[in-house]
Amino acid sequence: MYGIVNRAIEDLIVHHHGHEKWEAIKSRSGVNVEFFLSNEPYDDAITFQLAIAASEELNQPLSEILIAFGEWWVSKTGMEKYGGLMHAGGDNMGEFLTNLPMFHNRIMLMYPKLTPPEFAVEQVDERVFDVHYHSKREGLQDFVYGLLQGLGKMYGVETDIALMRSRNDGFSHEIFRVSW
Amino acid sequence: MKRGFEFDRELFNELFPFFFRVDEQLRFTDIGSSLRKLMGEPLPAAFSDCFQFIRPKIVAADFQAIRKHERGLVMFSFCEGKGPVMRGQFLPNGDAHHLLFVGSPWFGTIDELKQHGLAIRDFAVHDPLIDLLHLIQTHDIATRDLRQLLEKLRKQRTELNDAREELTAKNLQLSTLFSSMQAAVLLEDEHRCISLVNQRFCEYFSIPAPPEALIGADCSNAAEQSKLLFKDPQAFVEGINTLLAEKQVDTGAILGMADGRVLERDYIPIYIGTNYKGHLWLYRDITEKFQFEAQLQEKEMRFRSLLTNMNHGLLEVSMDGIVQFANQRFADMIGLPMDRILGNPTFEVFRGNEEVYEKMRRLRGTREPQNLVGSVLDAAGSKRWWHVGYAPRYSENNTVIGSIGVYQDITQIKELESELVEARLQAEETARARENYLANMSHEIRTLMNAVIGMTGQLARSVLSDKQRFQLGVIQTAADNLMEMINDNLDLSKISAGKMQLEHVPFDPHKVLADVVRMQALKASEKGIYLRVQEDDPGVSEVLVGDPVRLKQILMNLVSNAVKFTRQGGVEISLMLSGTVGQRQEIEWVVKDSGIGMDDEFVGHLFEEYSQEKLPADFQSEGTGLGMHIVWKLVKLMKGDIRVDSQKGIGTLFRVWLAFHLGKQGDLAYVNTVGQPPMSLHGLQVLVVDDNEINRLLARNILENHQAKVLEAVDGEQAVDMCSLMPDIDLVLMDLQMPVMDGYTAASIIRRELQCEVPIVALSADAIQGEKERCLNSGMNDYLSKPYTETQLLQTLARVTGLNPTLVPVFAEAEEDKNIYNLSRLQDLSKGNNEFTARMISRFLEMVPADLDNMEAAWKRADNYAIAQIAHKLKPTLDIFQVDSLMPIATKLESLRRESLPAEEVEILFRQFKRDLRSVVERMRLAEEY
Repeated sequence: MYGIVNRAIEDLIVHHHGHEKWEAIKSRSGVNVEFFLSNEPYDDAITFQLAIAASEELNQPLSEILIAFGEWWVSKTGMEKYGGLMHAGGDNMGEFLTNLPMFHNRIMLMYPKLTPPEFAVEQVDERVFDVHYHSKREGLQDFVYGLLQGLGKMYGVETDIALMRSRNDGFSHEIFRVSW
Repeated sequence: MKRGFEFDRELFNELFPFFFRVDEQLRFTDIGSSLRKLMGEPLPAAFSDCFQFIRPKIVAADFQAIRKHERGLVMFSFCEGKGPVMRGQFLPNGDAHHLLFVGSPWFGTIDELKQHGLAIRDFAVHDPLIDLLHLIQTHDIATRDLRQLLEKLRKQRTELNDAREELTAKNLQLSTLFSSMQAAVLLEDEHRCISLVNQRFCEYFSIPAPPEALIGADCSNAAEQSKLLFKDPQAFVEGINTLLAEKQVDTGAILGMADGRVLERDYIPIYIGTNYKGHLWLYRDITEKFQFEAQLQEKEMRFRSLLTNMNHGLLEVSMDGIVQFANQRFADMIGLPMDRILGNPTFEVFRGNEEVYEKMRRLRGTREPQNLVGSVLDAAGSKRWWHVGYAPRYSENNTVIGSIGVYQDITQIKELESELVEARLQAEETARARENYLANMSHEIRTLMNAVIGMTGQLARSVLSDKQRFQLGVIQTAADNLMEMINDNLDLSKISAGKMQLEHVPFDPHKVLADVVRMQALKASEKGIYLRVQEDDPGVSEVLVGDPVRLKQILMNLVSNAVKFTRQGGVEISLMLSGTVGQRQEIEWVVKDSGIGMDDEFVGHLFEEYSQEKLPADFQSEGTGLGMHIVWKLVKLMKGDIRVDSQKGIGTLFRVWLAFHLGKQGDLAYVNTVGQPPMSLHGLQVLVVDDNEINRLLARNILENHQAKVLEAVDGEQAVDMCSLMPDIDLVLMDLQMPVMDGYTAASIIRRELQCEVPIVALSADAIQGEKERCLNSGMNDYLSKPYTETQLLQTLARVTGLNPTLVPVFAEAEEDKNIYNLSRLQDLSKGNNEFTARMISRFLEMVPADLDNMEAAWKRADNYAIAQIAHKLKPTLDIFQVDSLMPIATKLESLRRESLPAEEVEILFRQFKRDLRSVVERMRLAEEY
């Protein structure tokens, strides 16, 4: 993953628990990277190590850590660093979700070393969308869940997110039903 | 279109949502959907209404001018900055009358989209502008990252510099510390190269190089190289290897050196985090300490061995009460096998002997060594006494870590002590009994002597035949001698017991001289020898401060002896000033006689107890042999000196030196004078309290002789009652030992409960120490020892009542009693018939009390006539017996036959008559009995 992801995790931890805790988590994770460059790709394992170490150090389930990180990614990292892009993505939740697949497809070209997930969106009803999540990475469903939850907060709507399908259950990808 | 491309307007708009088409007047004929959003409502009519060219420069933008730039890149902007720059190209649109623009707006940042109301969907999907903007944003983020990274590096560099400086300082401190340390120090890094070493290390291990030269040296083989310096080289090397392999802190290892030194070694591995970074060796030379500890250990062993084998039980106990050490003697004492003592709690060891256990438990932890004694039961159940010495045990840091008890069986000592206590109690009891016996004896003898001397004195005042007077003289002399003997013995006892206390009162030494001469003058005169003052040095102060009574006692002894042992010639007394030092005068008294003298051998023993020289028959002394001994003792008590010079047949010379403080003339409170009119106690009402009738009578006699009114009480309780009922009592003479209530108690009640301030004088026949103080403490004003003389009584009375003391005659006893009764008329009447006289007296004694009883009965029934009749009857009797003082009252009472008087006056007259006449009867009866 690009360094911006790990930076986001760092910001999240420092913001809520302080610098010392971040150092402890980093030390626990065994990750020996002093500074994450946003546009530099890092091994996916690093992100997972950090998330697991945070879970252990903060004594919280990994899923909670990932959900919190997903929300943080939208509300802080996305809005602070790509605020214009996020706003240009749509005027409401529905527009943004509709544009989500194309948005990720564009990124693939801009970050040639990135293997971004692929999203497909189906509008079930006016305020009900099925988001299909295809990724080569395992274990980031909770992160996606947090992202969708963060989007709802960004657009000021109360979202209900249900994991309809999961690779854990033998399906080819995850399907989240997002309704608001 | 002809070539197979077919675009309807909608499809064209999707591909180029920012297109527009203009006619020859540059009026818009069509506008793309996204451009419409940018233009806003209302839409402008013509190109020039809302755009102006930027590139190429077209000053007059008309259809033809624009056409010249067909297929070229054009940029134009919204007029007045109302929109973004548009970028694209103009194309002919099918005919020569229209132009088509395809292109899109240009933005610097993606944020500008929102500012112009656009979203991603307003751009053609193929339009890379959004991606371009995204890339620009990404680069911007990368730039910000770079700035942050640079800032972080800068901070880290600063921190690194600070840390380096600190490290340098610390290194310097460490080096200094290492150099100055008493221990030998070697710091090796993780590669076993020397980082730091101090001079002492080089000295300890005889390294012939300065410490700084060793920095960086490899120590990998150091143990092997230096092993021969150690007593056990192999053990040293193995120890080093083990430490380096385990890398665990190891302190206090003791290493014996081949040269006899003893080193103590610490090994401290150094870790930074979990990374091993080397280690520190510390060596200290503890040879002296080691030797000292070895000696100490040896001493302790010796001490323990001593304690183990000594006859005292020893018990060491920890703070939690567990026995840590006990010797065999303790086990024997407590009667338990050692395995039931060592390691066991003390309450188990002392079970059944809780007294000692509890006492020791309370002491545990205290820092003061203490001793205690307690009883225990031995294995056989016999009671034993233990003495236990408690001492705290300390740790190296001076904390109390337990106690040591040294147990000694003192049963035998205790038994001896008990016997001793019993013996002492018995001895004390015996001494107390003896003292009581002496006190009682003294009391009894003095009481009797009081009566003897008092009554002989009183008897001497009455009319006596020559024979009677001679016999009375014999009695008086014997009584005086007896009293002298008693007093000598008592004085000696007091002096010997250290209980003789000297007075410090002002006195006139010249008067003392005169008194002594006067008191012995009669005796000298009777013997036909002279007694004179040879010298009375006027340089001797008229007022000195000391004990005049004891001084007089000394002089009286010397002078009376001189008179006694002189047949012819006489006795001379001198008073001379020896010297004055500051406020003190030393006086020399000289008593010189021309008497029989003493031989030298006797002079050598003169001042010893019971020393009496064998004398001619006519000089046999009636004395005790204590007189000169008492003189000598008194002189020494007064810190003076006495010398005697005597020659057999020539005479004796005594010289006494005594020093006194100078007094002032005004210090003499009163001076006895002779020749003054007799003291009058008229109007004074005195209560005499004594269980002894004779003593009461004697006091009454003296007091009434001086016109005092006398009341009597037989014990303290009566005295209290009388003081309570009769507030006009002026003085109380109080005996001390009485039945019902003693004198102390009575005085105390009179003072504290009755709040009565009447003066009280104690009369005591006891001569025990501290009695006077006890009397004064119980509220009495003065103290008079029985037997007392009339003068002593009167002087005491004068003192406590404030009457003029100068009126007290010294020799008042010698005067005639004129006031009570007189038998001379009766004796005249009897013409020498003593039987008649006796019968008359007897008749008087029978009749008068009966008449008084009758008169009292008459008074009670207010029968004044009967009172008058009885008074009339008594008057001739009173006349014969010359009871002159009562004649006026008798006459007054007799007048009641003719005249009436107020009842109160009658009562006063009757009571006075009755009291005084009874007094006459009592005295006469006593006179008859004695």
